[in-house]
Amino acid sequence: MTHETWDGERIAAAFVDRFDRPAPRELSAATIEQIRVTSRRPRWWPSVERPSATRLVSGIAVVAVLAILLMPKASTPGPGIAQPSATGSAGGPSQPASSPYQSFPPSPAVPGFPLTVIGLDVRSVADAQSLLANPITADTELAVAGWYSARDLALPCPYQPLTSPVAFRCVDVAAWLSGSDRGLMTPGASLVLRFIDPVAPIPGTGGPRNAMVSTPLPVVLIGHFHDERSVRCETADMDACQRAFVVDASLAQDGTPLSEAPTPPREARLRLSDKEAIQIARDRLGASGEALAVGLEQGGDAPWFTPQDPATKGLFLPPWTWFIRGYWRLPPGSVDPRPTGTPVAGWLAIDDATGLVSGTLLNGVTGPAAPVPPSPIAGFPPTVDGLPVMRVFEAIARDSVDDRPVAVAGWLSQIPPPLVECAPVALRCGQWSLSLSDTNVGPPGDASTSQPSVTGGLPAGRMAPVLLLGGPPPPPANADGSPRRVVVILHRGDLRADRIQPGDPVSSSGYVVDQFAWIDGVDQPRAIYLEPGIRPRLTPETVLTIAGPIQTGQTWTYSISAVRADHLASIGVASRMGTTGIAWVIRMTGNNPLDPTSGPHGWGTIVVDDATGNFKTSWTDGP
Amino acid sequence: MNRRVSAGIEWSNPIARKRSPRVDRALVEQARRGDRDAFEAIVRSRIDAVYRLSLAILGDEADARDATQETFVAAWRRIASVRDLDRFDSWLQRIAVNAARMALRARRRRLVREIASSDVEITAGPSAAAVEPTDGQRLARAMDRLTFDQRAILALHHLEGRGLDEIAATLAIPIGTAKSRLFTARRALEKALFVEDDR
Repeated sequence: MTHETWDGERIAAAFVDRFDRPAPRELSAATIEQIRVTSRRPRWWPSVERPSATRLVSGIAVVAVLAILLMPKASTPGPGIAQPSATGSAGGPSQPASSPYQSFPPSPAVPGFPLTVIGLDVRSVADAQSLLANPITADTELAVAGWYSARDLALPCPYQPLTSPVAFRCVDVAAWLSGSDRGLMTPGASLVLRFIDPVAPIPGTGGPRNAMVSTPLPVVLIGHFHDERSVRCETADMDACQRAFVVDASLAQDGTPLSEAPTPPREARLRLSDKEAIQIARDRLGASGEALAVGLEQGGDAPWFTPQDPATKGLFLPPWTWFIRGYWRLPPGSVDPRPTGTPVAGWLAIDDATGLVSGTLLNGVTGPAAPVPPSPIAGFPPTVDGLPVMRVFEAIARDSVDDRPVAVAGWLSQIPPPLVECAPVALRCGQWSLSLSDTNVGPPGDASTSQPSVTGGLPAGRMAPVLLLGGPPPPPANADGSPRRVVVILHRGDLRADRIQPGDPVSSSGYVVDQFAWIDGVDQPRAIYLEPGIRPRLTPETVLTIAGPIQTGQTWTYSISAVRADHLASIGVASRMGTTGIAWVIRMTGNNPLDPTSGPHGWGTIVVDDATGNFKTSWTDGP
Repeated sequence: MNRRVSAGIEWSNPIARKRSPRVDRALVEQARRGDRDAFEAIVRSRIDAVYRLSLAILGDEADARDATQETFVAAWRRIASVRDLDRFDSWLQRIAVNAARMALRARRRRLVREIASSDVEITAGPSAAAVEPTDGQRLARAMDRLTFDQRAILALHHLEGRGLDEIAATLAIPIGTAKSRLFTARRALEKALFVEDDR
């Protein structure tokens, strides 16, 4: 064959011929629609850095870094305590006052300020004041334009130190936002501001929180009323606390950030960085949302924070929990009666140790989320068969039912056989079920423990479907009945689960054991399972030889099993195999053997026809 | 077999499609200040260019649509960080390249391929193509054999007509690096085209 010259001219012409096409007609409209529900990001987030030690609270071992700067006491109300505005009908709602939801119309433009910042309409101080006349809730994030001032005023601190003497800190500064450049603190026409460190930078200073700002500074403040942390105020101060405007972000008059957001102290020995915590929050908030402010508290579940998903209660462990305030926009079909696209703000709590996320945002952000990449676990191998070993709660937090193998470390206990009937399919009933715990204290699954656990196989009463795709019987319990230290390769979402208990969502979400890869410090041989009653022609060694050429590169086989071919229909690969009796199933992980550019965390299956030696493979590339 | 190799790489690109006019500075400035209408005007004027680039890099229309949308959403979220208004196009193209990269990763994650054993033979025999493929089709198949970075730099140069300085700005690399990468990518493309010729 003759090869023609491919010079630049010809290549360029070929590019134009092949790829110079207009975008599909609907793409432009869809993109613009997407942008309309997408917020802009304050510029400081990408550049936040680790804090300096100067941000430590008085050299005291940091117990909590949230601190309150200012809150006038209700019994001696400051001149700027927010009051319903007599003229405040511009944003008045049409809903009944008892409705927990409010949707406010946009404010008239504020002269000299942008119409919107980071996706929020910019309101005047008077307009923001008027909203307080309505049952406005903490999930309404506002952008308010005005003139910022801070003065040196001695005011008592209204917050009760619920968790520690240093949990809150009041400083002798009063800050407010006025509707005019005269900067006067006028009752009913100024917003009393509250800054909760390390949530937001203070306008005009970028650092010290007690800096005076005597010349009014034009700013746009992002914040909210009725902050949940007001529950820490004394009863007499509660109303004033709730009416203060808690600032989450400070922008200059043109909408650009004024300074970098303060960040937690390095000495806190955090596992996550502020960037990582913010990124986790952003992943949950999606493209239409925005992370606004970051806070950090010692301990697990904060007193003022109630996870919307009760299942996450107790999963947040000491020493640190991040709290990220953010907003997102109501999607179409939301049960929230407010219009689609309305920004709804709230808090995401992120366990610093695990990356678990729980949210208080209405209508959506709930439950555990993907954890941060697992770190080596003391006393266990960092990887088995190419899989990083994760903790039990990390496996739970993955919360995906995708057949993907995961290696999980923990303490394994066997539970007496349940008294239930076996499912009417060709799967054996097991005589055991398993529980895997993060700790070796107490019987796993015991209701008295708060540790999460994975139940081996399907829920109690069902056999573990390990019987089809490999995996030896579980190791015997220790003589004293104590749990065994193991690393187990599991997958979730096994397609056979529905045959055991059709329509049972619990069954389909169960974990299926593929291999006990490591037991009490000893690597275990590859799991080989032969379904009872079958007599395959091939041996496991022969099967591996047949499948060998495809297992190039970094791939690991973690289980081999021989099963009746008709059972393969339930895993979706048998229909075109042409086998008549028995098939072998090899489960493997690692690099995609057919795509050397793929990442190392894929997983796949090779199915070998025992009669002919023909095989098929399916592969899913990992993240 | 008479295999001829082109003699060198020409850095100017007279054949590349005619460049779109530069985005109006004032429009970018308005968008930078949060004017959504201005940004929407930018979307309408640049969406074809971004889609074209995404398609050349990804080779798949669905992925190119996703990457294009993601490009503009990301651009809207970050537009306040644009410093040099004259380099907005390079900035936007950088986002487009990154969006394409993410789309490719997502494609790998979601892809479940079922492969018959016969498919494992990488060196498949010659196909009896009834119709001679066009240069565009041959190019598309050859591009499949290249790495992401090679496809990106070739598309920027040969399709978008970007010079080395603009490519360097778009990919955030030194001009010398852009030159060597383009050279390497071009060589790889020629080899891939020869392989396609042999099919």
